[in-house]
Amino acid sequence: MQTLHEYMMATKSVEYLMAVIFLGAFILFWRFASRKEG
Amino acid sequence: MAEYPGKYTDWQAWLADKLFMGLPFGQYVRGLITPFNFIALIIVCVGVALAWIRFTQGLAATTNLTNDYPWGLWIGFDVLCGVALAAGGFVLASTVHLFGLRDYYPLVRPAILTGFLGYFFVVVGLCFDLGRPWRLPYPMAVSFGVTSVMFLVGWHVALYLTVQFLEFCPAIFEWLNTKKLRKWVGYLTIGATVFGVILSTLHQSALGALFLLAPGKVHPLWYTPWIPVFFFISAIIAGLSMVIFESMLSHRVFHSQVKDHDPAHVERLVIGLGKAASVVLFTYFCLKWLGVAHGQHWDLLFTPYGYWFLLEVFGFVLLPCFLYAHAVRKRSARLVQFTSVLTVLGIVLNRLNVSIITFQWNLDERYFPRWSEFAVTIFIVTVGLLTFRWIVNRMPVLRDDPRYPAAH
Amino acid sequence: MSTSRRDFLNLAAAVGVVGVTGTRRAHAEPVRRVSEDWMGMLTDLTLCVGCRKCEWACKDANELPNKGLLEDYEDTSVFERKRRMDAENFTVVNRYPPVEPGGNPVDVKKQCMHCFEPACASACLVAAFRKTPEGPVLYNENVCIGCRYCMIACPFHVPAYTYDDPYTPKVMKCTMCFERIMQEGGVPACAKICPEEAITFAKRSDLITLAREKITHNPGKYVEHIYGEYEAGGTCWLYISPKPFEELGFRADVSATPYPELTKGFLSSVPLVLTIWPALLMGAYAFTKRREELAKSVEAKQPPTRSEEG
Repeated sequence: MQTLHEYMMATKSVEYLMAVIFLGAFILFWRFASRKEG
Repeated sequence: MAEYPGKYTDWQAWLADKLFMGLPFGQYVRGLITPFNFIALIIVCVGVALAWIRFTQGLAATTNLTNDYPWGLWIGFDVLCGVALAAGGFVLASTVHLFGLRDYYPLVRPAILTGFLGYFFVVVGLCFDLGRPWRLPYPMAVSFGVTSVMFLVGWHVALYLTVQFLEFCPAIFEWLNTKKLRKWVGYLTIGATVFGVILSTLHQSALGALFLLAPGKVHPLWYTPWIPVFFFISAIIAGLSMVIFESMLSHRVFHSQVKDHDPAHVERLVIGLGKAASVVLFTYFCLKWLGVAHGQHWDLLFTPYGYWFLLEVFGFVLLPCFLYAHAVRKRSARLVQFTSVLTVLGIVLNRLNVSIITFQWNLDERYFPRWSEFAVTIFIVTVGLLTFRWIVNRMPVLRDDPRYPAAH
Repeated sequence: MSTSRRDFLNLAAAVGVVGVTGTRRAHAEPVRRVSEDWMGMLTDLTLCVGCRKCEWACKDANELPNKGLLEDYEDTSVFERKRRMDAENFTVVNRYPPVEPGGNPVDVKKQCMHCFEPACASACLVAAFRKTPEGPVLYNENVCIGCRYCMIACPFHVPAYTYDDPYTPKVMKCTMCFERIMQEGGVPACAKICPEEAITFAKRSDLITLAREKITHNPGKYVEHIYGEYEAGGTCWLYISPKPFEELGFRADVSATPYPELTKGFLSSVPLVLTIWPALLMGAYAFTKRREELAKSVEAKQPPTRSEEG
């Protein structure tokens, strides 16, 4: 990472990406938990 | 008192009814002779002896605390875990009174009682740990360290104890049959509930915020500026799981009081709580990983502490999350109850990890509690259980008082 | 450094302290964030020979237990393990390997750093610690409840506790000989007794200048870093060293952020929660009540239908 700015950008983008993935996973999880079995 | 059908002949009869559950004294005492009570008696005797030693000879005589490890089991477990596990009070109270899920009403009073007794005995445990416990009121009245997160914790716990007591007062006044007081305190419920949620948010997170001042001492995988948020969210998880666990235990132990309850109804409630816990656990799992990303400590995952972190997050957060979800789908209250135990252990593990196990992770010398620290902890928990039992056996907590038709 | 120069600095320091406090009233004035008047100590690690007379002098000045005889401190077996400050020792000297093999070992004296914005003061819920206008950070045992949060917070592992005292346990740490330095010509005991003049007591700003001079005028002799200049937001106790500080038991991960900053974010969110939560929660309550009223009025208008679920 050349500059602090680049470092921050890199960190932030990883977190945003993770947050988006988690949102998608959450939706899938909610549907999984809501479906009734048996 | 005149309204009660079985009118008391005198204050002695009233006392006998309140203290001895209406039984003749001899019969009451005989009823106390049980294996559980016998073990409890031993624990209490040892505890009282250790308390004597602790307060006459100091902390060195009864703990393994050092200058590098100023906080041990009594803070790590008694205080940190105790507060998290007593969180059921504000969770259930807000669920029922603020979010209107009236179905959960039967679980509110036990949860509030657990909350009140939980915090009360946390303070007892704290008094064992403080160097000068008689100065406990100092941050309230004598000298104010307003830059300190601990100051916040102290004030909030004191206020919250009061609020939880007020929330439990309806049960007390029903027991004492003081109609006016019962009515008056009922009006306070909503206000007390709102205030209780505010206080809980702040002090559950504040207990985590305490560790913000120890960046080099708490392991980087656990240290994040978001510790306060993590502690608050995991407190909700702990509260929900404790309510589930307790309802199962209470229905077995206090069988006579709950025999009129519809077991299917209770099972539905337990499953509902399990679903809530599952969702919050999932969120918490995601947050933990965001914390790792934020700290950029991916490389530390492949160290012994890293494996320990993975164990905590996968074995005690993600696993119970899916077990709860699976149990909800299968409509299995039993699996929900099993998972609640796993979850509670996970929260305990997390609190111990932050405060003791990964604390001063750079030092070679590790802290391990002395037997007397375990013994005092068990003593306090036992006294708490005995108090809980005493109250539930007498006051309308698990059952309604017929003179006060469900005010809910 | 020649004796006369050291004496001059010590005299200037003593005058400085008296000058600052001479006309001061009994109550404390608010301490500015960084004060030019703060006194400090500079330890030159190239000069220390590990005689540990400072340890004896400190115990003597503070009436600490198990002082022993000055001669006892010549025993070098204590260097076999690294010690930290404890309830009976406000300062300790540890020995580290030399810069080059065969050279003299490097001996390091540790004690309270008297930070600009002390973590202990920020942590204390009864404000038992205060940063004095003169520079030293002092502890007030009359309000301390013994929670030991200060010990958790201090990045330099300074505060120690008298765990074996049941009735009057207290936190123990270096005071920079506060009472002594408040007097005319007073110098902390360790600086006074040091036979190698490794410790200098003076205005902190002067010590920075002195330290920089030493480093510039002796290329290669010192590592180009003054420990304490910026660590934890700056401390009054400073070090210059022939070796990298991490190799001498100093924490290298203490950033320039003052410790109180670490909790400011959380503490400032408290008023927000106090303001927003009531609105949110009462909103939820109002919504719930409305929903229940609607449900009741719907039930009243239509004949109640039996539902499967209770």
